[in-house]
Amino acid sequence: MGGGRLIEREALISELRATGLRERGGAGLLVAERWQALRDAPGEQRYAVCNAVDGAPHVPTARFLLGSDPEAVIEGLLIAAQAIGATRGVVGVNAGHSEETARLERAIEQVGRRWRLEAGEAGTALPCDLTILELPGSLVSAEETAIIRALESRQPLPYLRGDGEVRGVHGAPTLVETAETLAAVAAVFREGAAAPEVSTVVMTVSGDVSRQRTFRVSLGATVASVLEQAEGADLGELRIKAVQLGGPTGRFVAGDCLDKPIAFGGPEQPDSARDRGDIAGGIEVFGGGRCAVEMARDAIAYLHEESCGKCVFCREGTRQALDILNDIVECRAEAEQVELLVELGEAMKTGSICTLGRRAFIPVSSAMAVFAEDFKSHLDGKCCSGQTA
Amino acid sequence: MTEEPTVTLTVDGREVAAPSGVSVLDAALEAGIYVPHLCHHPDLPPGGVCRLCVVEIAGTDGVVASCSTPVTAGMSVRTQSDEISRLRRLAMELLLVGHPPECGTCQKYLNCELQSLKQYLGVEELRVKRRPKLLPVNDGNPLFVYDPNKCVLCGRCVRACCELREVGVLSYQKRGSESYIYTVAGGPLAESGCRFCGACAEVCPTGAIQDKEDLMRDQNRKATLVPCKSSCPAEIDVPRYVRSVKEGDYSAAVAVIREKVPFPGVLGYICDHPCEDECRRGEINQSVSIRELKRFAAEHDREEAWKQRVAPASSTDKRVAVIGSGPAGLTAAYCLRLQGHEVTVFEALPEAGGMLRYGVPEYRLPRRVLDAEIKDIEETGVAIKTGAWVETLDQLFQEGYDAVLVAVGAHKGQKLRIPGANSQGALVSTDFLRAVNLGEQVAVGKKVVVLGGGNVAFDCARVARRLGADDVRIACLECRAEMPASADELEQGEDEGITIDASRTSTRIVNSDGKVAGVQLLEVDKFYFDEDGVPQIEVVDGSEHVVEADTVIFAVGQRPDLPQEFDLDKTDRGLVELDPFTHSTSREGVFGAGDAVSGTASAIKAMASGRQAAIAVDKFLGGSGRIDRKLAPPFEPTACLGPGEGFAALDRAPETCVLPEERLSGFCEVVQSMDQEDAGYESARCLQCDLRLKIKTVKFWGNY
Repeated sequence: MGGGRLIEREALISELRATGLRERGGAGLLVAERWQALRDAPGEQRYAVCNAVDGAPHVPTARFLLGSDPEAVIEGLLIAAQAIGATRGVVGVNAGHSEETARLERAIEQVGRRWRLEAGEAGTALPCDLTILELPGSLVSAEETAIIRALESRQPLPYLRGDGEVRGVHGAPTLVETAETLAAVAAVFREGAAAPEVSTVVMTVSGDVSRQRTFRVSLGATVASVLEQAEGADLGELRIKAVQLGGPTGRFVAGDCLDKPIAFGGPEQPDSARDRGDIAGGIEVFGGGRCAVEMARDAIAYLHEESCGKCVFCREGTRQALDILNDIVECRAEAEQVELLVELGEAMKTGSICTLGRRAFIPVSSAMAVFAEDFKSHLDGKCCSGQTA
Repeated sequence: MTEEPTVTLTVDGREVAAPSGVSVLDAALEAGIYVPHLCHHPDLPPGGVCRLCVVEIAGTDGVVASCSTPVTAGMSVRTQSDEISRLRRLAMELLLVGHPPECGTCQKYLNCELQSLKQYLGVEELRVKRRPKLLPVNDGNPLFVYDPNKCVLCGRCVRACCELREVGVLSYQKRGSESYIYTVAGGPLAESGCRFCGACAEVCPTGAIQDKEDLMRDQNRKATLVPCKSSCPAEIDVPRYVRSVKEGDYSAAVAVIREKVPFPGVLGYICDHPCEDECRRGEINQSVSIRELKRFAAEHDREEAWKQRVAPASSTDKRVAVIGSGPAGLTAAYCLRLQGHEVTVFEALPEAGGMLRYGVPEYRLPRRVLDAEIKDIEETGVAIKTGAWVETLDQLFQEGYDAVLVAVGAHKGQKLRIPGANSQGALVSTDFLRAVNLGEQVAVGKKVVVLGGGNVAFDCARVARRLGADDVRIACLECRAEMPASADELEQGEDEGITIDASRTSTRIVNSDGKVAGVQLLEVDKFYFDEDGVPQIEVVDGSEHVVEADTVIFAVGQRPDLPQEFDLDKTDRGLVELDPFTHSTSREGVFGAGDAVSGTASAIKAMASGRQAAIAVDKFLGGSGRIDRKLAPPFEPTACLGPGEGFAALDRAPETCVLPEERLSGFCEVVQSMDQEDAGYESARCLQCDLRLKIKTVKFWGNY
């Protein structure tokens, strides 16, 4: 392992700043910036939390990382803890992922032993104790505020936490980073800025493919090339209607857009600073025979199921959107219903306290934009099945 | 204390100053600018979930929830625009999707925040699809009714339960894809760790969580929600002193009681505790043992903190004569003395206390307790003249008293007008008890029948047992369940071997040679009062029988022994007649209080009456009539209650009684004092209903 424990806090953060490492699974904020804010926040008790909860089964990023190199995740968490002066370190994982949990326990032991051994000469001990926290595997449990609530022994549901808010568990400064970010941090201190983890992200290709695959993808690679890499075939042969990029709340992308590179937010990503974008782990493939209205309907139905029920626009907006989309699927929707659908979608963008709610309409709005034809034929009373955009 | 720095912002073009750190919503509301809001509540952390409070902020795209946006200096806020209205209306439509459209039948009608907001936003028809929930109303819990159909998931109750109170019982639950608020495990409140504090019902902006209707009969909501306090005739702040006991501050507890009456110890023994009858804990399992807590506090007040704050007001140079040193007279005397008047109490009997001394047997009220509290009253400067029979009121006025309070009690017992009532051995309750309490040698026979079903009948019967009667029976008109005596008396009396012959009417005292030989009784089939309030008795034919007795004691009501020379108007029941507003008698400057006015009541009612009289007398003498005192140190209870696992199942601490054989050998106390552990336990069973009143009431838009 690298020398993270030997470097002073300020130096740790400036070294990270130099690499320009961005957060994975979030909006791509600079890791160093977040840590600096936490470092500067007053408070005796301080928490460093690793979010290793996979919200959706078809985006198993944490599972992939804990399966391949759990020690990197733990090292990253300890470095984070050291950098912000954490008094408690916690790894949140899916309850029921027993194999990963066991690996984590071993990794905590291993890394801890090594850390203490190497620290013997330098005279530093572990920055804090590490514990594992099991959470239900759901989209809301993967929200960082839900993990904070769980750490307060409360119902693990999102709550309102302002942009850039550093206070978390019982009001103490709390850093929540994804397992992927922390693994990348560890890599930086093992191998320097040239570490592959800095220039790659973990992606899972799922859906209408031969087999679900999770692997590392270079930033800047196109969606098309990732699909070709996964399936070992040319894009043309894959007969793809669309892909949903970035997990269950991601946008649908098709045609030429598949040639755009996977990258941290640019002008094409209008998401607010704390919302996750395209790079959040998932590419779900929808085959040529699929109907875009049904795809949108299924996406919102899933999100309605996953909604925690707190925010009116997420809880009821997804439900009303689902009803309207069902009517569109059945070719019985009225024009004013479509107007209402669009109005709901606009309101939902800002109408919720967590990412799930704010992004819940993205699949629908993107499907409506990309597959306007499919929607039009449904509204004209003709089913669209089989058409490709 | 450091002042929060203030920032200045503009709301709808108006300059508004607000402490830094507050939300835009709070700043606007504080400045009298109404912004609609539902999930926000002034006592709860922001929810940010209802989206009704959205506003626009110059320089920021779109809208933000004002409840969760902190003010910043120079911020420019718009609370009204087409976009804002559109979003608010849409949010309201979504909130109303499952809510019953008809308001008229709801208990919350016209007092419902949701209804008010609906009107404010003008949302009548919904464009979104209604989805009635059709769920059963849950009225299986004590105190509260939960109608999930009316819930709009604003989450206030969850925040009140989890964040304000930290009880953590309510949570968001999903059944299928629908969201509801339920207990964490979906079980009944009592099994979920609920503390029944009522915060959830208090903050609910709709009719989803409501107090049970039958508990809310009274128009005065606050009074109904803290029934122990409102049912106390003397308005003693029960929850406050119970809390002081819980905190281990027994001296503060006593001071709270003394803010109203000077008899905490006496009441701790003999109060008939209407508070316990109304205690909301009784709806869950058993009421809090309030009287015993009072007794415990009174017996453990080492510091006597109240004495530090009790100094009488400066002298008014007015003199008040109080006739009668019972609970009414002495309470009035104490209150009037503290108002700065010179007070003299005239007592005909050898010692002060009235019925507390000459009615209540010593096994119920040890005389040391009474003596100590009378001494405390004297130490405030009240003069008590015992053995002083007042002949006329004129005499008092001639002696220079400015006002007179007649509180002579109701010491004249009566007999039933039945044949044989004047036989030798036929006694009257008050005379009997007074003689015993005066220490006179009172002989009772071996077989005693007491006629009457109230507490005085039990006093007579139980005293008779202690004087050596073997066979003591109580015969009364009422059926057992309707007997006016307290349940304690029935239980303790029967433990002492007293036989209760309920539903009996006596028709004759059988005598031989002029001496009582028995009582002829008939079984009562029905006993009721007709429309004119006249008692009606229907007897069982052929049920006539004679119970042998050598002593009969009549305990069938008492009247005041009011000298004719007082020259006061009386009611047809022989009671002192008072003006209901001025509490004045028919003579100027003469007031009345206690049993002499009300007829036989209770000690606490007599004290309450004494307080009312003191107010009237004080006003008559030119005072303010404000007799309440702040004697307890100020104490702000915490809003946080913490988890309540097992709380609902905590049973009332049982009373420990001395064994009957031991009791009957003398006049020792029957009920033993609580120990400190029990006092802590019992006081912690209190629901602290008063905490709920500290939750702020949300102002409706019409009030801005």
